Amino acid sequence: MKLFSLFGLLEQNLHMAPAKRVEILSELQTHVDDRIQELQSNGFSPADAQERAVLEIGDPSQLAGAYYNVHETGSWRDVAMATVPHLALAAIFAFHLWTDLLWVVVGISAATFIAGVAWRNGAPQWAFPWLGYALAAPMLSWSLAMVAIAYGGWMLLTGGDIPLGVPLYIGIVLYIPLSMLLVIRIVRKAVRHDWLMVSLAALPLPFFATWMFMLHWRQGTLTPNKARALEYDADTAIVFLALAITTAMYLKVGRRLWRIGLLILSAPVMVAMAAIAYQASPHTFPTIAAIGLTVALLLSPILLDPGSVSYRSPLDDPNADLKPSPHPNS
Amino acid sequence: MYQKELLKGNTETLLLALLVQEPMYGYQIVKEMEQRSSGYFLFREGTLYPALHRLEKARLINGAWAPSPNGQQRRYYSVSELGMRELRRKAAEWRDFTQAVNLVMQPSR
Repeated sequence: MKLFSLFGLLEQNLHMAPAKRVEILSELQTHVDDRIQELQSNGFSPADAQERAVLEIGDPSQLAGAYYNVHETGSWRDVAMATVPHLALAAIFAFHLWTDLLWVVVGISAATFIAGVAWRNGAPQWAFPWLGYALAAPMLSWSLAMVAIAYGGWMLLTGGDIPLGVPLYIGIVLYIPLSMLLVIRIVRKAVRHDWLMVSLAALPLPFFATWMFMLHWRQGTLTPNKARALEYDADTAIVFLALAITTAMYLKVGRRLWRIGLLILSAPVMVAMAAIAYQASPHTFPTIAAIGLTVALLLSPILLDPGSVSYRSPLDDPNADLKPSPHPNS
Repeated sequence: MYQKELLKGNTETLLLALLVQEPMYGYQIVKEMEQRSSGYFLFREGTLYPALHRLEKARLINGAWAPSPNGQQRRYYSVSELGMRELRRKAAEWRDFTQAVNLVMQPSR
């Protein structure tokens, strides 16, 4: 393996904040530089010295895994912070507060504010569940906006008038693509940290979508019957408690493969729990389809993973002379 | 040669014991460890750096970029106050352990 391949593989496997990744790679490169210089002063040719230094580093994916274990295993503080939004949602449903618009607005605003502040302070692991809830609101509102657009269009065709008024209708039409662009931009940034953390952030989304679908489907109307909807609140609160437990387990499990397994296992279980809670058979086709879509959604951030793009070793050119190691701040 | 498991349990204590003498960077640690143990301890990158980062995350050591004597930037590690306390505790534990092992291994009279 060449030196540039080693650093490329290491970077691909270091799933953590870009700044931390660059710092680790810079430190390792100073080590390799020192080793190459020592070997050359002992009579090795530059090519042989590079080859030997690379061999001594060992398997890059194993080394990256060891770093991942150290840096990405969450502390109990991370666990406490990350589970707060799930527990808050559980409380909101347990006390039937979701029917009060004020609580919904306060909840979404708090999630957005906390996710934004945490993001500006280095995006700690606990920030991702907050980010998920901050993005859940615009994502779930797209379906409502599309229904409003279809309804407005139908009323225009049949009655010659738009019930919501032209300015509001245009606003809704513009809202979808603009908010989509914003969400995609934020998600792409988050994926640069680690696509798996974006999956963790997206964990409540399938359940939210199922909840909304079941609510409207069972009422047969877009305006849910509050009294009937409240009957499901205890079960919904339990699902959010399960989300909190899953998040805690995810953060305390240091191994990446176990984390992937946990997400693949837990999300469909939650969809099935929702289906049972809302008195739909978990064996019906919509439930099975929802489980399939859930797994696909949770694994989809991997498609946005940029791979090795941010770090470029000065030794990327194998024919280049040895140069001083880069400093992360330089 | 020693068993890997023996080193595994003591890597962090050895690093603290070395860094308490002066701040060092990774490659320097490998060389110092090799020299001071007369070639007995050969630290590999895959063991050394994750261990250093684990110690740093536990706030037992501090890491900072600084120029080395030849002017190149290096990440130097130094022992924190918490690390000093941990080293004292580990050293006492190690003394008790080796003393007990030696007592057992001595032929009985």
